Amino acid sequence: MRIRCEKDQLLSALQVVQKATATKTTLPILTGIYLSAEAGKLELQATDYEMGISIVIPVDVVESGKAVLSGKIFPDIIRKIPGKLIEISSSSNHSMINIAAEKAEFKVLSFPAEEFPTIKKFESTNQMVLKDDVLKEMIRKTVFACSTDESRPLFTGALLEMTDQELAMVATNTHRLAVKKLSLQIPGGTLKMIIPGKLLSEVAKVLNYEHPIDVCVYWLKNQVAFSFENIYIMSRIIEGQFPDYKKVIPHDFLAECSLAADVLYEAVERVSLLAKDGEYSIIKIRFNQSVIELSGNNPDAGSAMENLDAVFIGDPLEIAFNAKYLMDFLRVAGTNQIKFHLKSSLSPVMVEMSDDNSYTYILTPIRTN
Amino acid sequence: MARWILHVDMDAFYASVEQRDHPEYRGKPLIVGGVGRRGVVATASYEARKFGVHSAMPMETARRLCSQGIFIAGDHDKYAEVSAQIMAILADYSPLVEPLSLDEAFLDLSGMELIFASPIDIAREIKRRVREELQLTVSAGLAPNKFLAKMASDLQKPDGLVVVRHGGEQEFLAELPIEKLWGVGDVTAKSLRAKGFAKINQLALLEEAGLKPFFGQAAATVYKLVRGIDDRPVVPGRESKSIGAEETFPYDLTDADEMRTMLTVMANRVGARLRQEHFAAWTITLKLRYGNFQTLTRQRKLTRPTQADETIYRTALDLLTQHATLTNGIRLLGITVSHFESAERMETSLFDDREEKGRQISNVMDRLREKFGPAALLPGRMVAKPLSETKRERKDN
Repeated sequence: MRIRCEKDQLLSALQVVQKATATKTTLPILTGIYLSAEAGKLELQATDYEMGISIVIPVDVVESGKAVLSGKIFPDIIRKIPGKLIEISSSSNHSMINIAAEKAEFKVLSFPAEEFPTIKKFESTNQMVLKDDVLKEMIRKTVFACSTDESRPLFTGALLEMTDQELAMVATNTHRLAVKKLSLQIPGGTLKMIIPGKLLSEVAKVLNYEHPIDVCVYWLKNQVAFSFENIYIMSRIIEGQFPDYKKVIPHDFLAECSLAADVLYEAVERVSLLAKDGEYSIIKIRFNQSVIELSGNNPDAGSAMENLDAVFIGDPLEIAFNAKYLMDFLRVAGTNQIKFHLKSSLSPVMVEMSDDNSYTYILTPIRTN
Repeated sequence: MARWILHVDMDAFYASVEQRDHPEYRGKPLIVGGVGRRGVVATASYEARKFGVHSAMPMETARRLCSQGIFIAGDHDKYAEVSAQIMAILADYSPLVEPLSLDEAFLDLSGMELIFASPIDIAREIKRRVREELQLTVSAGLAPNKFLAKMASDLQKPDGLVVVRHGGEQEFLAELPIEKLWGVGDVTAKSLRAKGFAKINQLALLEEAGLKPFFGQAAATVYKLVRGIDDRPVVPGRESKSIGAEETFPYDLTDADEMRTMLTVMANRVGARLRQEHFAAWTITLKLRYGNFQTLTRQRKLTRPTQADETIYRTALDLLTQHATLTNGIRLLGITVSHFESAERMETSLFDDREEKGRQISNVMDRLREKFGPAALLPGRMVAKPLSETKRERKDN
């Protein structure tokens, strides 16, 4: 193998595939990045058997070939190497790879490339096409609500649910729930799959184009793939039955409260400074006519209180929240007006954003004695 | 400011309390523990220790070694009460008291000499007060850290006081056989001795990598300890760190239904104490011992802390079915809950309100039992007991 390529282009490709390299594995080759150069193109791949990413970039291929380089050292070298042009070439026995730019030269060991489990790309008939900004927004508004607790894998993923008229992405860690819907006419019936939250976050991160693009979503019984431009990301689907989220969306509210998300965010952030107790920070909000009162209390450090103007309709009530769950939503809401729908101190609360009526966030209160 | 840690350890605690309260036991070999066929020694008086009786020994062995001994079942509530009196005395000398069990605690005395006399005087004062107010003796170790203090208190039992001065750490460790080192069991001791290591300070010749073969992951800790370094703080134990119950059965259980019943009994006992202390627990541990004494503990961290008997039971049962070979005959079962969270504030859930329901049921049961007695309301499994209560060996901690 002998290729010449631009440093910036190679580096950004490496940063994408690096996410799929294995960190904890008994199979060392999975910690590597697979390179395959042929006919003016370099394909980079990484997989940890859960997720796989492939990206193709144009390079000058002098001699085609393959290699698998350390997923840690190789990107580090490219990041630090001087100059704009890089030459990558293999030694005669292919076990050493030479990376050179300007006056710097590195020799790194290659894993045997033929042993790399290359990604089996599929492009099934089960597919839909989404605009990048639409998909990105769905992910951004829901995936933060996923659980990170691997002992219940079901909740580490987001449900993608398709019916005749709409597409919904749903994420929950059982204490809070985010639902983002999209009116969409997709022929081909219904679909329900739980996609790992980690994969969705990566997809959203990579969807960073200045021009609008189409994202193809393919799925099989136990796999899902996102294909766009020069990138192909695939993953297994999480098995199991996602709970009936529609059932837990509350209604029959007795009170509501409106205010600006960013104003509330900053106040929650301040009061949280003194709201840490045990595993999480608890913030109490007392909803009154025209003013809401935030308070936090850490027995070992002190307490904090802040009043905010708000529009409130209903009987005054106090609810304790996990500050993180509230802030996660407020961050997504940005500078929007938001509206809390409330019932009682111990009932789940629904929050909505003024500029998006197809987005719902539910959070459960903390029961305090 | 020099760091001074005091470790206090009651001498033959249960036995001493009994000898204090029963003059007829004084000067005689007294063994407190499970008196059933398969009981275990909890504490042996010093008179009994001369016969080779020690704690955790099967009662049958103790009876064989010391036929003239007095064997009693002990009164856990009484010991807890005396323990509280001891802890109250300790609290007079430092705000940082960390109880390790009913009869053992660390105190951080650093800086206390500004208020009281020297740390040594405080140690003497504590010993005097325990003797005069409670008629019990205590052994104490005073040292620059927890590790050394704990070893020091053990050196001159009973009624001892050993001081390790700042700068005297190496000298102190040079006297101690490696068996005294934390984490050294029979096997490790044997392989260390085979390599010529006899005293703890000799291990300071080894680098961390050299300790790895003997101590595995603990090598980094041991590396520090053998140099007399231990910066673990004294953590005031306002609360217990775990609550557990275990039982040794009069015969080995092979019937899955009987095991479920016993787990129900223990889950209820542990759950009641958990709620009494206003805690919720993240972790459930199952302990099980087969007829051949092979012992196994398995634990699981829950997705949310629990206060419900039902959750404790279900998790323990799950661990049992997952990890145990039921046909082997089970001699002992135990459940421990740990990793506590204050139950004053609990996250509620959108989906599995099973936990919340279970908590409410348990609370109602607690209240009914409080009013009408412990047997007022029992889970179905506990109504028809397959094993008579008297034959079982209970141990709560």
